[in-house]
Amino acid sequence: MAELLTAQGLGKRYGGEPVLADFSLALPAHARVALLGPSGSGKSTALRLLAGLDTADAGELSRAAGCRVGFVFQQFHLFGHLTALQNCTLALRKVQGLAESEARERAGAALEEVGLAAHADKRPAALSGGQAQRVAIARALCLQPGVMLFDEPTSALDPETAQEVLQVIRALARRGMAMVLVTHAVGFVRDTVDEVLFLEAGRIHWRGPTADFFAADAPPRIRRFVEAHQA
Amino acid sequence: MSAGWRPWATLGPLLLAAGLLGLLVAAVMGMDYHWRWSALGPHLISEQVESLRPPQAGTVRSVAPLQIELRDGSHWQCADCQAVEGLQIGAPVWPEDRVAERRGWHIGLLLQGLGLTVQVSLLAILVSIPPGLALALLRMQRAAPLRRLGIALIEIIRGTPLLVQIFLFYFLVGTLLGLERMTAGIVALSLFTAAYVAEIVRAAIESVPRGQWEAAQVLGLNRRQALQHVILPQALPRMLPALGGQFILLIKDSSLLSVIALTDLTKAGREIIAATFAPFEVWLAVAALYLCLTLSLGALVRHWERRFGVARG
Repeated sequence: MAELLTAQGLGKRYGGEPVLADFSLALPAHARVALLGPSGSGKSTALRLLAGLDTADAGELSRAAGCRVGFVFQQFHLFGHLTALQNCTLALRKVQGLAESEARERAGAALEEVGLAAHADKRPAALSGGQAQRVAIARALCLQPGVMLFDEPTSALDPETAQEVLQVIRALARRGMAMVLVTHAVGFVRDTVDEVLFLEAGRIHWRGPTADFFAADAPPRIRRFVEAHQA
Repeated sequence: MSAGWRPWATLGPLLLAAGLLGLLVAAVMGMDYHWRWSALGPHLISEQVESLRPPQAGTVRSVAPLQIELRDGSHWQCADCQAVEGLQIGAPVWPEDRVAERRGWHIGLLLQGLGLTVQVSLLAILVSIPPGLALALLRMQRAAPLRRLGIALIEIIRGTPLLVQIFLFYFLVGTLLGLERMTAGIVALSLFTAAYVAEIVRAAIESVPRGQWEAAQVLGLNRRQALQHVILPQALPRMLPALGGQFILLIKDSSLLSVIALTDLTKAGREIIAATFAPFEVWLAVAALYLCLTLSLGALVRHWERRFGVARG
């Protein structure tokens, strides 16, 4: 099966300093990949390059024809002046040119999927962090993306609220959505993700199946990381 | 420090104000100034009595309503007038006779000036917004030449006195394009304001978090759509307080238009002083009228702030 997303040797510098080098990834349909690593290792940069939020200085990036990419931010970035439903319908109407009624219907279904149909008419300020992040996921979903990118989707949330968001992402994975996640929720990585890319100092330090990442005979650097995150 | 009532916080400014007022009164008394507030009256609003005379000689046929049969057989009458006392049916009247009077309200020069100031200010505020927005967007362009053009225009306008701009605009541009005084004045005032509006708009747009642009971008909105549907609606509440302040400045700056012979509130004041020799009364009245305008605008802006101030955080 053809890859939805292919990155080949991506590199990025900020002010002359390399923050990411030689990043490669091939994402087939239904694949679930986690980018792990310490802060400043370049994982968010890699994700932003995949989303087209930043442009790479080196390498190549290609997307399967007609494959849209959805992006979920750590800080949600909901539009504060719009209700949850309007957050979802905006792009449907303005980018995809749907009629208001059709856009509302599709947005409603997306909010339903994340369990927030009852909060459709609330503004972001009236939502909890977990609810806001689920609206952000619905906003990305209603554009019917082929791949979802999550940039630390639960890092701004308390552990309980984080679980409610991770449940939604898990359900997405179960129905076959391809996704790339930057996250520190290793428990979630262990039970949902197929492949782990471990970044350090802007390079892919280790990559392999999730089971190997958590295996007792993983390299010492990986063991240290896993143990620190499970403490 | 206790958080209770601090007498000096309230009393201090009051005492200071009272002291200053006392000094002013003492100074004026020392000048032996003769206050004549009544001189202001006719320049605000006054009842005017218009005397009416028949066009030809004739005979009074009815008093209420007044009807006079003229010598040529036609009838002369007036509806909203009152026959003078003592006029009797059958009495002969001549063209120079004052047969009736009509009472009406006359808007004085001061209120006419106020009206012009309001008109000029409101129009200038409205006209200043589109070029202000355009300058802000020009100033924020990625392409350096456009951005520099925006910066240059803003700096030129902000760096030269409004008075000079009004002269230049009226005598140079106004003459070239054949603009009326009023139009030239409004346009000069609004271009001046537009430069400040541009910086207020830019600051407000830049205060909207970057994440909002990025969220719009990943949803597929282009820059224009992001600006229109995501950024500007959230920037508007942030620019309202500063815009309100700028428009209050505009109302006060409109007094400079008197230099191109527009009889605004300030020029009306000067003309009334020339006629009444009551400068203190007139200037205090002029100041009070400006204050009414600026306080009203301030209240309106605060009302809008409360209404639109929903999109924070």
